[in-house]
Amino acid sequence: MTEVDPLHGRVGKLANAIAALVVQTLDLPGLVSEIDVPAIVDQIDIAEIMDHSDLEEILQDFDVDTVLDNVDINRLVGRVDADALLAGVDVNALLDRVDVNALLDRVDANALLDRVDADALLDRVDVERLINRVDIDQLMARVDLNALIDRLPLDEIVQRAGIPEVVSDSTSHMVASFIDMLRRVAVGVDLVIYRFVQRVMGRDLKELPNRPELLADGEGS
Amino acid sequence: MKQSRMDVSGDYAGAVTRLLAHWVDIALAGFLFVGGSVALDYVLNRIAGIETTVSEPSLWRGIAAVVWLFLYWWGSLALTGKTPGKALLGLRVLNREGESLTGWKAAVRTVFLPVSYVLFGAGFLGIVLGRERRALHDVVAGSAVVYDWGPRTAELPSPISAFLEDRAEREYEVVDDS
Repeated sequence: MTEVDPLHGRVGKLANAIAALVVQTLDLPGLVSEIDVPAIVDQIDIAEIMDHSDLEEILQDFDVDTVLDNVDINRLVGRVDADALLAGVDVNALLDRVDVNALLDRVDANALLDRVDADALLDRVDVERLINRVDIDQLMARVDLNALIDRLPLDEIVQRAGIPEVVSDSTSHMVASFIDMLRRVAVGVDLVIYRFVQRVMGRDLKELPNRPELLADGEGS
Repeated sequence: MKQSRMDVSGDYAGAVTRLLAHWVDIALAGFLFVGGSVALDYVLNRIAGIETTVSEPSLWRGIAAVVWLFLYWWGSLALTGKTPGKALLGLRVLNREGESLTGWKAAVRTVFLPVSYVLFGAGFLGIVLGRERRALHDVVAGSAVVYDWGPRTAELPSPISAFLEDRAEREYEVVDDS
C-alpha cells in the first residue's frame, strides 16, 4: 500500500480550495466571450499540425459510416454550384476515359428508339443536303449487288410490274406478224397462179367473181 | 416510201393456201390420233391393268381413224367454219352465197372430201381451174372457201399489190401500211 506524504496532502487540499475559490470568483462566460477565437485560429499553422499528425492513425480511428449517416446529402448537393463545377471539368479528357462500347452494351436500343419521334426527326432532316454529301460511287462500291439481288423477291416484282403480260403481248404480236407474213406470201402465190391459169384459159379476169355474192355486197364473212 | 397492201378479205382462196392448210390438218389430225392411241394404250395397260394394243394396226383402229378424221373435219367446220389448218392459214368455209356453213353441209363436205382424192386428186382441180375456185367436195356441199384473217385484214404482199394497182384491173380496197 502506497504511503501518502503528509505535506503533499495538505498543499493539495489548499490548492483545491484556492482553485474552487478562484472559479467561483471568475466570470467565466464573460471571460470566454472576450476571447478572439478567429485570431487564435489564424495563428494556428494547420500545415505544421498536419506534418506532426499521423493521418493514417487518425483515419483508422475515424468512423466514416457514422459521419456519412449524419450527412444530409440532398442539402449538400443543393449547395453545390454545378455550373462552376462543370466549368472546371475537362470534358475531352473525361470522354477519353469513357469506354463507349461498354456504355453502349448497357443501352437498351429498342427502348431508346421507341422514345424517338421519327416523323419529327425526319422533318428536321435536310434530305437534299444529305444526298449531296453522299458519294454514290463509293457507296455503290461497297454494295454487294449479288447478295442484294438474292434477297429481292424477283418473282413478285416481275408479277407486279406486269412483265409477263408485256412479254405475252409482244410474243403474241410477233407470232401473229410472222403468221401474217406467211399468209401474205401464200395469198400472193395464189393470185399469181390464178391469174396465169385464167389467162391461159382465155377468161376475162374482170368478168370472174372474186367472192361469194353476199360478201360482194359488202357483208363480212 | 409509202407501201400499201390490197385487202383480199372474203375473196375466194387459192390453191396454195388451201393446200398448205390441208397439209397442216392432215399432220395435226394424224399426230393427235397416233398420240391419242399411244396415250390410251398407256392408260389401259399401265393404269387400268387391261392388256390391249389399241395403238397397233387393226380393223378397229382403221375404223377409229376414219371416225376421228370425220369428227376432226366436221366438228371444226360446223362449230367455227374453219379447221385448225384453215385457221392458221387464214381461211374460212362458207356456203356458196357467203353465209355460215350449216352442220349438215359441213358433214356432206367432210364425207366428200376423200372423194376429191380419187383419180390423182382430180377433184381438187376446180380450185385452180374453177371460176369460184371450188373443189369437188365444195361443189357437192354447196360451200366456198374464202380468206378470213379474223380481226386482221387479209392482205396481198406489197409488190403484187403495187403491180395490181398499176394495172388497175381489179377494184381492191387499199389498206394503208402506216
